[in-house]
Amino acid sequence: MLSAELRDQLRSLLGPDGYLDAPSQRLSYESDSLSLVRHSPDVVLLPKDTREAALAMQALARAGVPIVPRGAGTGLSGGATPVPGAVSLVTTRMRRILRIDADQRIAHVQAGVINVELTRAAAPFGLFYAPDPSSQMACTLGGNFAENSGGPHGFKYGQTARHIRGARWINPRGEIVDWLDPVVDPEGLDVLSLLVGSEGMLGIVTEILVDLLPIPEASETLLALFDSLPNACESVTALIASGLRPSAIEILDQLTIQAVEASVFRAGYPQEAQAVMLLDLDGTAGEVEELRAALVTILREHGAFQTQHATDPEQRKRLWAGRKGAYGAMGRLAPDLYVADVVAPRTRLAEIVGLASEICAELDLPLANVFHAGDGNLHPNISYDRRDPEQVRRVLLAGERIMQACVERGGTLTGEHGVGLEKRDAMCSLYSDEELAVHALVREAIDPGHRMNPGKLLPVRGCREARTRSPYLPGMPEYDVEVRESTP
Amino acid sequence: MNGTIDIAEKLQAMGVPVRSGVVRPTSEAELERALTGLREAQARVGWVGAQSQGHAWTDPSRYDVSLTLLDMPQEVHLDAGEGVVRATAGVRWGELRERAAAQGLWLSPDLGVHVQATVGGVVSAGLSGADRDHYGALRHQVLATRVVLSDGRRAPFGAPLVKNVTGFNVPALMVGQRGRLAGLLDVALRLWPAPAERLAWSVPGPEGSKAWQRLRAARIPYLSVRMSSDPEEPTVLLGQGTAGAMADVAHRVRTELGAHPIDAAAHDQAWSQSWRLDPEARSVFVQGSPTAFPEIWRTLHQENLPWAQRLHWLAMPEIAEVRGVWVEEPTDAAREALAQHLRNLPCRWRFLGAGEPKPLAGGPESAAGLRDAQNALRHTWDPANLWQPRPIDPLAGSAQAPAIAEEVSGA
Ligand SMILES: Cc1cc2nc3c(=O)[nH]c(=O)nc-3n(C[C@H](O)[C@H](O)[C@H](O)COP(=O)(O)OP(=O)(O)OC[C@H]3O[C@@H](n4cnc5c(N)ncnc54)[C@H](O)[C@@H]3O)c2cc1C
Ligand SMILES: Cc1cc2nc3c(=O)[nH]c(=O)nc-3n(C[C@H](O)[C@H](O)[C@H](O)COP(=O)(O)OP(=O)(O)OC[C@H]3O[C@@H](n4cnc5c(N)ncnc54)[C@H](O)[C@@H]3O)c2cc1C
Repeated sequence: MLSAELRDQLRSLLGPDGYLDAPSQRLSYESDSLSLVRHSPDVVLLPKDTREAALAMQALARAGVPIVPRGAGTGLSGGATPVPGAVSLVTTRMRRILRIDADQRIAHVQAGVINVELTRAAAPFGLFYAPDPSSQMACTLGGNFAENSGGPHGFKYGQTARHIRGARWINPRGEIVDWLDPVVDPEGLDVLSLLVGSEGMLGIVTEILVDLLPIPEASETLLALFDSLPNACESVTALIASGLRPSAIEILDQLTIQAVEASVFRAGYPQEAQAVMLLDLDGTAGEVEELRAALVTILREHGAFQTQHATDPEQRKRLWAGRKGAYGAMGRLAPDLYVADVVAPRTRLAEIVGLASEICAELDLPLANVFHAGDGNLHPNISYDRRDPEQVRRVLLAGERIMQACVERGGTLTGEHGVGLEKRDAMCSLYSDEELAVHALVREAIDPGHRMNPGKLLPVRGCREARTRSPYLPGMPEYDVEVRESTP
Repeated sequence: MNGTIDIAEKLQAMGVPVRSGVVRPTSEAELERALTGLREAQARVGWVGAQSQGHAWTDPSRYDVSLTLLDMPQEVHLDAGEGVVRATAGVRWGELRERAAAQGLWLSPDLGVHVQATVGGVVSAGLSGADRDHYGALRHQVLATRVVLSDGRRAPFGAPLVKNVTGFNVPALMVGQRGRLAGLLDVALRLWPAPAERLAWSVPGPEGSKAWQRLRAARIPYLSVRMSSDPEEPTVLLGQGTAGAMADVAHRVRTELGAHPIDAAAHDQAWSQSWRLDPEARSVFVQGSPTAFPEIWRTLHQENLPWAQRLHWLAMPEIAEVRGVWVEEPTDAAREALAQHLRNLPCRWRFLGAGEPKPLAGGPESAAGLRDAQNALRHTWDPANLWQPRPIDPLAGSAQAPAIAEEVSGA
């Protein structure tokens, strides 16, 4: 519990817009987009800049209060979900693009800037920001930094880490650390790279320097239709083996196509297709032409019964609308959606997609697949109703079995959504207690008091115990948060 | 500890080969015994690979012993379908590149003539080389690693997959750590489709930095620039990519920059040779932003660095690098004079070379808070400070609360 004195101090520091403690105000911060787990934060803090965030964090550090960083709350692993006794520190008021340096091709932004706003702001300079999570209309660049987010075009351009050039970071003690000169190769130990993808467990990032890339001279979208999902997956494997490099390779299965076509995100995907593959091609004009010809040949050889390509921006936008709106469209199927996020070796895509559908069929759950196929990053999506505990039980079981199937075949737990609360105990399927103790040294070094986003990413109790239960089933003992006394 | 001889004797008595102060286990069992023996003796250990870095980082006299995995059984597992190669730390970089090439794949960085360097050494040294522009820095190539700590604990991080965010990004932290946190036992690296074409052009005109400015303004993709301080040598543009891309680039380079095609393979060979750093040579290595390139160029040329024999320049959209090589150990005064110039430029730098490494490195990230984090990592991973126990250039500072802390306490 926060003392009255600390509350007063935070309120006067952040003002009425930056300090929320009424139950109705805290409601929308109870979970991220993994709506299975909810907990109301004691207080929600919304600093408007680095200085305010640092001052608030210093006050919290002195009182030993745990902090859950939060951007827009679009995370899908429970990373920004509050834990008992913690305050949520939210970056959504830090929404300024501080500088675009078109000459250096760098942008300096506050952490709460929404992903798509940066690309919009860079466009007049002929530049764009490459990481494009499908949530880019809502998610923040700080959240992308903390999750090392990917997106469809990550296939060619890489995940967020690849585009980070610097940051302003507040460590758990509330001290500001600057890397605001664009770093290329850091001298000494590469702490900045360690912060990217650290899921809010090592401090809060308030400002970020990112790379902007020149908008390619030519780009177009290719749509390929398949009469079976396995064929679509096999053709990805063949495409990777051929060395061709489109900028995005995405697959949508039939249930997704139906949901999309019945929704406002209608893209004109033929409903008779069992799977559609969306590919973006970019580069110089000659390169795109050469790439299209080679891709079409491979796709046809592997069962694509029809291909179309679009160069007109409006047409391309329409084709992508179905992919970008897929999650929204699935809202039609049931009130809630569980989005799994596993990585399969790219040679075993078809096999693992097949297993996921067997698992869901066995548990009588509807499965829709829409995924970053080029990177082997699968998103089996299960529609359900969270008010029905029996459905919730089956959904969780399906999630666990899919992860297990993936890990057993050389895949891994998460490609872009992070471990968070959701997969925390599943870390035991990859690592032993002894190995996890070495992983924990990272946190031990930076946050010895375990005050930053406690209870996430690292199993709290031993793996033997973790394996026997799920961390977020209703009635679990208080999320297992362990904050140390010896802070700060 | 009583010194190298005692430790060597002790390890040899345990059945671990030691030659010239270098511990050279030949099997897992010997490595385990060596690590136990070293731990019990609280020996200061310098990890080494093929020692191509010269003495600056691997000088045996700084440690009780050096430890290399070169004689261990080496394994390579190349998964062409996934685009990943996994190798034990002692595998030679050149061998790995050859194996990749045989499957039409490319391993970055291209170390040129340094084919003997080891996987553990290259990753620990952390240099990204000239093809970073096409494939990203070395830290983006390292997908997974298995490490051992000075207390003997071992752990894997990452996965041999092209996409993965499971857990902290320790594989990236291992890049450039130089054996200060952990010994690398094996590493998984990303492979790329080999470029279909690699072309080179020479650009007329005396001043390379001008060519660079024009190139940036023209936004011609897929190119990097190489030049040296030797006025006889031309400025060279290098491009690689698909045939379609290179046809477009070649056209633009000719029409917009007036460049002439040259033989890329011959140029690569010559460049690689000229870049080669003799273990005995001394050099200064400067990295700056590409926009600062002309300014860095001007400064270093105007000052004419009397002790530098030669300057090599490399510019890519993300970075400009220059390496100055000289024959004689510069005096402290000469070193300081250079540092004075560099301090006024938007760049960072470090001195490499023979002799006692000087704690002179520059860069804005030498801030107190960063040093704290680096030191904390160091102390948590290697609390007894046994591995690579040399003063780390920018890490010498102590915790220093920033000014803002005072504001709060006053509040
Ligand atoms: C419809 C939909 C589609 C999606 N598509 C993709 C996709 O294609 N690719 C992808 O990678 N993800 C995707 N996601 C997941 C999610 O959008 C990303 O993880 C995103 O980066 C989260 O950003 P956020 O601002 O919402 O962060 P939040 O959800 O608020 O937080 C995410 C994590 O980051 C931490 N955090 C947030 N801000 C900071 C900060 N400033 N400093 C330190 N830690 C911080 C939080 O503690 C938490 O652990 C999708 C989600 C949805 C709902
Ligand atoms: C294009 C390019 C050109 C280069 N040119 C040169 C050059 O001319 N000269 C040069 O010296 N370097 C050069 N380098 C740097 C080069 O990466 C390293 O010198 C070399 O690859 C190191 O390999 P090695 O096996 O010889 O390691 P060593 O030189 O033996 O060691 C290098 C570093 O790695 C550490 N290390 C070695 N093995 C391990 C391990 N298993 N675990 C933990 N730490 C370990 C050592 O302690 C040391 O700090 C170049 C790099 C690039 C990208």
